[in-house]
Amino acid sequence: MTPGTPGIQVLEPGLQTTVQDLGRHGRQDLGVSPAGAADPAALILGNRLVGNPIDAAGLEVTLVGPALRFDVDAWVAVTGADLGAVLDRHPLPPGTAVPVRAGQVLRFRGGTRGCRAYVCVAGGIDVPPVLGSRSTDLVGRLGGPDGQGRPLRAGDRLAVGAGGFRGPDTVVRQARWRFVPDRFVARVVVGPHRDHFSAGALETFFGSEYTVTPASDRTGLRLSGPAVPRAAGEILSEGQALGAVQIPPDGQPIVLLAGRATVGGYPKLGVVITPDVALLGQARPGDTIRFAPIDPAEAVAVYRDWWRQLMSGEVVVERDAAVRSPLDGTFYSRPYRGAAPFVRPGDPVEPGTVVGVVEVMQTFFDVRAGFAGTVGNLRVADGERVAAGQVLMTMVPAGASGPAGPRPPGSGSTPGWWPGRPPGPPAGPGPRGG
Amino acid sequence: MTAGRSGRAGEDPGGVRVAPAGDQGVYVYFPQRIDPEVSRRVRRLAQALRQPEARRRGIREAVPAYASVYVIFDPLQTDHRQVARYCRRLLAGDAGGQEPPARRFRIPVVYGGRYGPDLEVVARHTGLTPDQVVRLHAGTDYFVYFTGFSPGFPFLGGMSPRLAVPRRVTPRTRVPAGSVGIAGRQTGIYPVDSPGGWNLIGRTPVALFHPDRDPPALLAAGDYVRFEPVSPDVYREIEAAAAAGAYQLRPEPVGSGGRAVHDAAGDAATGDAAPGGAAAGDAAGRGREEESR
Repeated sequence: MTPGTPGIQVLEPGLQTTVQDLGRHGRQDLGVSPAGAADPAALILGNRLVGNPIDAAGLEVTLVGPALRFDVDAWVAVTGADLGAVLDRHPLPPGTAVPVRAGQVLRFRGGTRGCRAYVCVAGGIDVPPVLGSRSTDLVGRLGGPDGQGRPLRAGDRLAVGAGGFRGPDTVVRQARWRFVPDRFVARVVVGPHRDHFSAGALETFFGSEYTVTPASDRTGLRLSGPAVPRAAGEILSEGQALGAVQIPPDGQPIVLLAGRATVGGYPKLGVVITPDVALLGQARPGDTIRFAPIDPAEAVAVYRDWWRQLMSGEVVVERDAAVRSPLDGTFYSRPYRGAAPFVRPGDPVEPGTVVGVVEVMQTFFDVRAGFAGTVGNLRVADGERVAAGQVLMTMVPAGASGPAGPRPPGSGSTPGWWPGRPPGPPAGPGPRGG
Repeated sequence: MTAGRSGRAGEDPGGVRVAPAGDQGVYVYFPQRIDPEVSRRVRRLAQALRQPEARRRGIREAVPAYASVYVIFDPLQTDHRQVARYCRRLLAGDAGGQEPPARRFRIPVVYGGRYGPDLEVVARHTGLTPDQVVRLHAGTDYFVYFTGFSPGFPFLGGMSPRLAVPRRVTPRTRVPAGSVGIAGRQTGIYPVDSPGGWNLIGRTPVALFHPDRDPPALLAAGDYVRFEPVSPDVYREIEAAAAAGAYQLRPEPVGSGGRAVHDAAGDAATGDAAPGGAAAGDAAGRGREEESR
């Protein structure tokens, strides 16, 4: 972007922060990796929260987050892993969209669960598209801040596009979605190289737990665990499916993620279904993964259900985040002159926590928080005259959890966000054609 | 063509097998060998799968390789069964139409020196002089089986087995774009700066991939490549012209009715002339060490 164009300034780049959209599709025959968000569900929901098209570009933050200063007012959502996002000093729970004012700084204090957070901004991150996508292809060197396929660097300035949510700043939008599962269970369609693996090999693979190693990256999860025996020899190089479970000669599986190369030559025991590949985008080194077989027809049904949920109205909720004055009077932010205020921006509150008082004719009425969360911005000063219904302050609700509990396996189709049914018995004869 | 083993699920008499790939893809496998005739069938199917009719049926992408096409579909629109059936129908018919005539690109390469730091290594390993290595490498047409792995990278067939040299024990952390290398029985050109373990014998100033070009990749499956030794001066001239946007490598038609030249010993000429009159004498016996650069 040209200097002076308002947008986002990168103060610190973080471990590996990249611009990603839903990928650069349609050119794999030329060797162009699709790239795109490693957890597309998180990016899609982030975009929905800020009113963007689902394929707008956001920032993919890996483990250690960046520091970003906004030069413009904008709606911003952070989705995916909870990497401890804070806006100035207000914690920003995952899956929450809030208005950000020019000058505010978004930082990440770190987290313990999940690997990747997504920063979505109303209007999208507007870097120049390359071959129809803004995604950063780190291996093929395409896309990103300057089209050269690199992660963000300190000093980068990113333009923000037009459009997106511009609603009143007294609302908060939240995603009801479980971004990081309690346990990683990835469902796998067996094949295409079913013949390279014995029944015992499948038993080992589906019956064991695998640990994500630090050699994992956007191209794939490199796992460590009981070796999966396979037939000797490689296969002829062929296209690489997203989620493919490759077994190299040492028997340690590699699950291919969004940043994979388009061609490879290790036999593929199976391919993880898309909804679960999105979850695997949240697996960090040290996490353990189990695999469960699923047949192709059921895999398509699960995908359809996952997509329907991802696009449904019920997963993005908007709520009034304003605390309003109950009546005409004078607002006091502290119990008496010289005392500490009831609350400061960023303070946690529970439903019923007193956040201020309004005085009318020497009578003091408590103003209470309506829900659990943290205090956002104070809108009126201590001692200021207020009218009934006037906004006194905003709240940021605590992180929304996913829909209440998973449906039990077998009751209709499996919801996509649920990380899989419990690992079942090893696959019998492989699916048709595997 | 060998008849397919009967009784196997998903296998056709034509030796074609369709296998599932997760929830949004299938692989169509042809007889698993590096063979221009198989490659021709692969290209025809991939081309048919890029037509509007295929798109209407929910097919999003077709990724051809040596002897397979990875077909990606939209699971909201279709499923494995329907896509497999459609692929079989295309294979049974004469879908894909006429192939474009074969083209040959003469790619200028500076061999040796700092452009090809491993030329001596290859010479020592093969018992040839550096000059002989260059003559062998530049003296033959290479067939582009497909492009992939990284943007514009051509999987080439046709290198003389006499030039086969194992990968370097320690890969380089950075190989400059345009480097021409040998690994095992394969030769190739690095399209972008990347780490790599191939033995580098030369470098070309020609860009194999440019996202603003249409098509972005210089080479396409079915093309031929011939390396032409040039001096460092010519390299720099081309490099400067390319930087100024004044250089474009134009292909030449592969001789009408003629055959692409293959004088490398050990390359069994196989197959009939492809449409356009070209046949590639690249074949059987090629190792499968084309993996992992």
